[in-house]
Amino acid sequence: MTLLSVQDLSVGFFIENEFALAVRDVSFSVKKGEILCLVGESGCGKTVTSLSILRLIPPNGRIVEGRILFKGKDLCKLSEEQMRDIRGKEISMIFQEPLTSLNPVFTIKDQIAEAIMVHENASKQEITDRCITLLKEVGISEPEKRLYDYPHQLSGGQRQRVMIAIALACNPSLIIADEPTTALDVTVQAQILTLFKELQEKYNISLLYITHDLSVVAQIADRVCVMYAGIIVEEGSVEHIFYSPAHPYTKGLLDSLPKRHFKNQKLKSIPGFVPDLLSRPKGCPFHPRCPLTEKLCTEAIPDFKELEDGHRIRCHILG
Amino acid sequence: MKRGLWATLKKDKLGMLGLFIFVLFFIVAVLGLILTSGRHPIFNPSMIRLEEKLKPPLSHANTEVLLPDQIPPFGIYILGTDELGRDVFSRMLQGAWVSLTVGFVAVGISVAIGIVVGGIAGYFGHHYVKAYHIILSCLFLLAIFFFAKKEWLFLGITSFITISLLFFIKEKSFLKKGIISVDSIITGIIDVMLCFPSFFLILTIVAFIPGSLYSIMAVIGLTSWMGTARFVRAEFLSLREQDFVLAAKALGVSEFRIIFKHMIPNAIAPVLVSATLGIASAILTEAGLSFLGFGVPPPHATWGNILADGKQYLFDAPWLTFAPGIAILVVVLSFNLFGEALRDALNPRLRAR
Repeated sequence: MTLLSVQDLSVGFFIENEFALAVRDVSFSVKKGEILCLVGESGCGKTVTSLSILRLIPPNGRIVEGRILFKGKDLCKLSEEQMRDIRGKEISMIFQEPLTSLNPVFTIKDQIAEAIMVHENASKQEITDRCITLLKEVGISEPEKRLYDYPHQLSGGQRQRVMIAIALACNPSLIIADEPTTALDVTVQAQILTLFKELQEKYNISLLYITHDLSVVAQIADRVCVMYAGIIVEEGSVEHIFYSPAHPYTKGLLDSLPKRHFKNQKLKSIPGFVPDLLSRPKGCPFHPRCPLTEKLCTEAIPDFKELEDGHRIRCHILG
Repeated sequence: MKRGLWATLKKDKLGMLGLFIFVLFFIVAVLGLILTSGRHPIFNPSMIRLEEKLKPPLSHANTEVLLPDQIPPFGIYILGTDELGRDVFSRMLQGAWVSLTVGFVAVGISVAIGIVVGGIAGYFGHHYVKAYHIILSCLFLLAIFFFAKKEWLFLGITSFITISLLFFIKEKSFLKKGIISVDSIITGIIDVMLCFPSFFLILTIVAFIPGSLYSIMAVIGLTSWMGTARFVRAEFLSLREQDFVLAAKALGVSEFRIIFKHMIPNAIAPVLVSATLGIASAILTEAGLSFLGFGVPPPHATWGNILADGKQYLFDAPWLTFAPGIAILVVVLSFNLFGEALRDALNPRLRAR
C-alpha cells in the first residue's frame, strides 16, 4: 500500500532575483512499512525534497508543480492549519544536527511533551508516563532521571535518540530522517541505525531516509533513489543499486567508496564537481562529468527507462 | 530549572551582594511608603520645623521648642534636617518608593514595547508592506478624520473609494507590489528614536506635559525601549534560522506558540539583563530630572530633588547631598551587579551540572 507518493515535484528558489529550480520532476513513492533512501551529494536537492513534503521550504522557495499525495490527500492543496495537523502527527521529521534541533533552554521532557501536547489532549501524568516510555523505547538508560536534563547535558547519540523519541511521540505513519547520523561517529551511527530498523519493524512505520552515505544505505534501505543536481537519476531496490548499478553516476558513487584501500592504491572519484544551483548545465545535468556523454545528453533531460521491475534510470545512452 | 539558576547565582558573591541590597532596598521602599503616608505618618517627610533647620545627622531634636507633633521618632534626626527643618531620613524613605516604582514601571513599559517591536521586526521583518496597505491606511485615517469633523459627505466619498479599491486590488497587481520591508520601517524608527540624546528628549517632553510621578514613569519608559527592541530583533533574526525552530515547525507547532514558547525564552536572557541595568538607569534619569526641577513636583520628596535642594548647602550641610547621592550610587550599583550575575546564570550552557 502506497503511503506517500511524490509526483513530478519541482521546487524552485528566488536567488538574487533569479528563479532556479532546485528539484526537478522528482517522483517516488514510499509504501507502508518501507525504508526508502534518498542518496546524493550535498546540494542535490535531498533536503529540499524532504522539506517540501512537509511544506517547510524557506520563504524564498516555491513548489512550482507536482503533487505530494499522502494517504490520498494532496499536501500541496491543504491549508496551513490542516498542514499543521499533519506535521508531527502523521509525518514527523528528524534533522541532521541533534544539538541545534533541540531547544537549549528546555528540558528534554518539555520538548517531548510539547510534541504530544500540540496534537493531543493528555493529562500531565499521562504525558510524563509517555515521555518515560518513549525514552525507554529509544534506548536511553534511566529515563526518569534523564527526563529533566537539558540538551547540553546529553551526548550526541543520546540527543539524536531524544529527537527520535520526539518524532515517535504521536505515532506517525511516516518519519523523514534528514541525515540523522551524519553528525555522529561511526559506532553511535551503527546503534542509531539499528534503533531505526527496530522501531520501523515494531511499529510498521515508513521511513524516508536521506543520506549521502552509501554504507548507511546498504545497512538500512529497502529501496533507493539516487539524486543528482535536482533530479532522480536512478531508482531501484537496494540490491539493484549495489549489485547492478546502471546509471554512470551511481556507478561513480559506488566506485568512490573507500574500500579499505592500501596506501599506494589511489582513491577513485568522479571527475568534476556538482554544478551550482544557478549554473546547472542544459540537458542531462550529469553530462559534463559523464564518461558516456553524446550530443543528445547536452540537449534534453532524459526520461525514465524501466530496466527491470522497479529499477529505473534516467539516461539517454543506457537502457 | 529554578534550582539550577539559584545554585549558579549563589556562587557569584558580588551578584548575591547586589541581590541582597536590591531586596533590602525593596523592603525599605515598601516600608517607606507605609511609614511616610497617611494623615499622621510615623516619619513625616513634609513636617517643617524652621527652628531646627540644617541639623547634622544623629543630632537630638530640641523637645522644648517643638510641638509634640513635630518631634521625629526617637527624638533624633537620623540623617539630619534640611533648610526647612524637614527630617532628611523621612524624605529619603519617601523618595525610595518613588525610585523603586519609577525604576520598575518605566522598565516594564520599555521592555514590553521593546519585545513587541523587536519581535515583529525580527520575526515578520522580511514581509513587505504593500502599496495598497499604505493607501488603505491613509484612507482609513482620512475616514476617521472626517468622522470626527462630522463631514458626512466626505466620509461617504472616502468609504466609497476604500471599498472600490478593495475590489480593484485583486485585478491590478502593481498595488500588491512590496514597497518597504517591515524590518526597514521598524529599524528606521528605532534609529530615529536613538539619534535624539535621550535625556534631552525626555526633558523636552516633560516640558510639555504636566509633571507627575506617572507621567515621568511613562516618559522614561517610552523613550528607552530602543535598546531592548534591538536586542530582541537581533536575537529573533538568529533564532528564526535555528534548527530547533524548524524542528518545532515540523512537529506542527503553531507560529504563535513558536514565538512565545521557543523564541522568547531564548531571547529573554539578554533582555532581562538589560532590564536590570535599565532599572538602574531609570532611577538615575528620574533623579536627574528631579535634580533639574522637571521631575516629580514638590513637596513630594525624591532622591533627585533632595540632592537638588541640598546642593546650595554643600559646604554647610553636606549630608543633604551625601545621603541621596550615596543611596543612588548603592542602589544603581547593586542593580548592575545583580544584572551581570543574572546574565551569567541565565545562560544554560554556563550553568554547572
